[in-house]
Amino acid sequence: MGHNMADVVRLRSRPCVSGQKYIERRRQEEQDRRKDILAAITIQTWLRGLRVRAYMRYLHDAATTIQRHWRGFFQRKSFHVLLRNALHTRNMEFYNCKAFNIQKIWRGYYVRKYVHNYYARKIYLETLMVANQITRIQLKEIVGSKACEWDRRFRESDEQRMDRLACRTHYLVSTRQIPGIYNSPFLKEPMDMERRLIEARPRINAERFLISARNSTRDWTEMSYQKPCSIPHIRAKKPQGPFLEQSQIWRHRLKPLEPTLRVATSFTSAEEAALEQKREEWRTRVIDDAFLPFANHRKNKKYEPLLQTSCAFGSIDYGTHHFRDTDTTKNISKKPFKTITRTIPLFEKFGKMYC
Amino acid sequence: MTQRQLLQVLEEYLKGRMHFVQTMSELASRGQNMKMLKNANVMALLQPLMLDVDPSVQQIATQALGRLVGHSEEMAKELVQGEVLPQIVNSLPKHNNYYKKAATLVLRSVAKHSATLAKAVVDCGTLDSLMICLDEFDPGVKESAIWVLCHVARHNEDLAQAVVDAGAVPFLVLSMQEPEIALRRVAVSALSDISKHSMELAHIVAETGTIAILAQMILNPDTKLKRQVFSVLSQIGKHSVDLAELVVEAEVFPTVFICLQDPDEVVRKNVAILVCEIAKHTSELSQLIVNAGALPALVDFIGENEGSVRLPAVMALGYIAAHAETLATAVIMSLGIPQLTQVLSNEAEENYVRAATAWSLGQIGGHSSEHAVAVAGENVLPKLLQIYTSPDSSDDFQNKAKNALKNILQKCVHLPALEPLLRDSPQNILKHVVIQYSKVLPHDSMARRTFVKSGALQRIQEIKTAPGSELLEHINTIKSCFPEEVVRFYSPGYSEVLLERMEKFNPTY
Repeated sequence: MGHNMADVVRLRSRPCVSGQKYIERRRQEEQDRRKDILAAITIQTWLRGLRVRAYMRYLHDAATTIQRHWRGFFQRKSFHVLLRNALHTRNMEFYNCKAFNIQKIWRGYYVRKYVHNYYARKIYLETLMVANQITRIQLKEIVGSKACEWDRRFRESDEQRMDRLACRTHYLVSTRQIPGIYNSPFLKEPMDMERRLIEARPRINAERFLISARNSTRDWTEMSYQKPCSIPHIRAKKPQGPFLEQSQIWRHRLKPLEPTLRVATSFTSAEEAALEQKREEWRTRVIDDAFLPFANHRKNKKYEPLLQTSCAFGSIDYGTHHFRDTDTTKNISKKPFKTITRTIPLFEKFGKMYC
Repeated sequence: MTQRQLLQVLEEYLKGRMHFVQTMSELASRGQNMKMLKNANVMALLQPLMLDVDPSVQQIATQALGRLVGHSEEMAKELVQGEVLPQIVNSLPKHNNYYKKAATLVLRSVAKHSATLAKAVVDCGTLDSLMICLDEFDPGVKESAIWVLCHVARHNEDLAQAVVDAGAVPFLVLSMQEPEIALRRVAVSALSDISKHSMELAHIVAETGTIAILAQMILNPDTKLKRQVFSVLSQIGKHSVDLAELVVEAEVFPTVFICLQDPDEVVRKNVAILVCEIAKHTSELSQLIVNAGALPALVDFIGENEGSVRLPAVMALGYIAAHAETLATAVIMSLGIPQLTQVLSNEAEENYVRAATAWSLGQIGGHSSEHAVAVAGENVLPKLLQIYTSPDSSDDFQNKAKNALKNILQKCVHLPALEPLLRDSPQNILKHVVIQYSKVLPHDSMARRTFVKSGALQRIQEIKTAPGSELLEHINTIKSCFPEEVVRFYSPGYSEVLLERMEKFNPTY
């Protein structure tokens, strides 16, 4: 209401316009109102649009700025990481390449030198071949020299065997009347065996005895104590004549040796016996001290001086005449020496040794 | 009755006994009389005579019993059950040397049959009495006592340990140095029997300084002694590296190769065993033996000998080659392979020798392609294949041949050698062959050419394979090395496909 009143006042204060004109104008106004409104709206739309767009642009600009900075910052940061990684990879590749080279060379060198030295192996095998050849030749030589010996030994043993056979079959030898089986009349000449048979001599028991005696080297004393029972008694026909009985002879022959006292004992036996007696006495004695009579018991005692007094240099005054030096003038300081605890050797060694 | 008549009766009785025991002793020395003697119950008759008043009757009766028991195990068992042994053993130290010999003959004859009987002999306290016999001066007594020890220790480890525990080894070592050759033989043989059982026993024998003494006996002219010496050395050396090194340190090595050509076969065989036992331990020992010149000696040995004597030498070559690639090369360069191939292809050879040869060849060829080529170059592969596929060969032999084939094939890149295998080998061998082809062909154009030319491509495509198997994969790898037309051209049934296409083809005019 106040508002209308104010309008009225304002209107009245204005120079009065003619009513006609006024009406005209009002009508015109009424007619144009629609148009004006549309125009105003258009203008407002444009203006507002302009403003909002400007504002939006402003906002976008701001956002872009922020984003630009952020993105720049962020990308720079991640790029830095990327760059660092790339550099690291490249470095690693480089180092690896170098390490491979070193390892390759070293391993090659090491293996060639210590593990599989081709040239050493080649030389070894070649040397081995040469050595093998030498061994073959040497073996052949040795065996060649041995073969003669083996052959000779074989022939010898064969010979011995044939001789033994000839000994055993000596009855096959040919006689003047009957030719033996090795001396057939149909043969041109007698066989080799015939020669052997002729040459063969019967083996004598004494010969065997000698061989066995040579083999056993017995002590003569032991021999005499050998019991005769191992030899079977020869129970021949009883000999004629007034001979002693055979068993008696045997007993006499196989009597053990009885040496005389002079032979049986040692030359120095008397001295040895005396020595032995002495030793025996010493061995069996219970007390080594000389036995003293009981009668004058006191006199038996010997005076035993003290160790100190019996010393050649006399006794020491300390302990009898004086005990401790009391002259203080000779002291370096008046304070008594402090006793210091000795260090424990274990701690001294700490860290300097392994355990 | 006069004194004379009495004496005559006694004399006749003595003569009768003497005659009886002597005849029995002679009869008992022949194996064919055993049955009759057993039926006649001679043992029961001899037993009282062993306690006869006359020592010679005693001795001969004991000897006869010993011979009797030596020929038949049943009688030995009977003797043990009859509790005669303790009596013999107890009387052993008291009697003279002749009786001792006869008594030890009895003990020896009982102990030689079986471990149980030997145990029975030991349980009687024989060993202590024998130790007393070993102290004897007479070498004959010593010899027969050692012989008993030898027969006891032979059976098993416990008995050998018992002999060692009785303190026999120092005595044996002493007897080994005696001048009597028979005594030395027996002592060395006893040491061999003791040391063969276990490492501890071998160590005890080695500790007494045996090896150094044995090393001096190597060139002894006596053949039987040499046999035993090499036997002991190999028995000691076989147990461990340390003992083998002890044997090697005695500097036996260049010397023993001389004995590889000894006239006696057993000596040669024992030497080869010694080399084999030492070589099997480490590559260092093998190298040492090779450096000493073992290879030419062994190869010559294989070439010069016949039969199973060669077995240890063949094994020795295998062991040496198995240790290191250089040593295998050395074996190849010493012309070991032709000799081995000859053994392998010798049909008359025992199967186990050939099996060992196959194994040795496998060991030589399995190191690298060069070795494989060297082995394959001697035409070994088809022979091995033939042995593997032959139904006559034993399982072990087939196994050895298969392993050798595998070892060699896995390293072989020498294609001409592989080709015959492609034709007639079973699936499991074929696999390795195809693998080798698939390894080589992609890198070698000349090989591809010969592969196609020789018809191997066709053969490969004819192989029947399970889908998804390893074999198929390798076959595909091989196929991919060739252009498609070539593969198709050599595929089975391609001619029919071509004919079919020809029929269907309509020429346009």
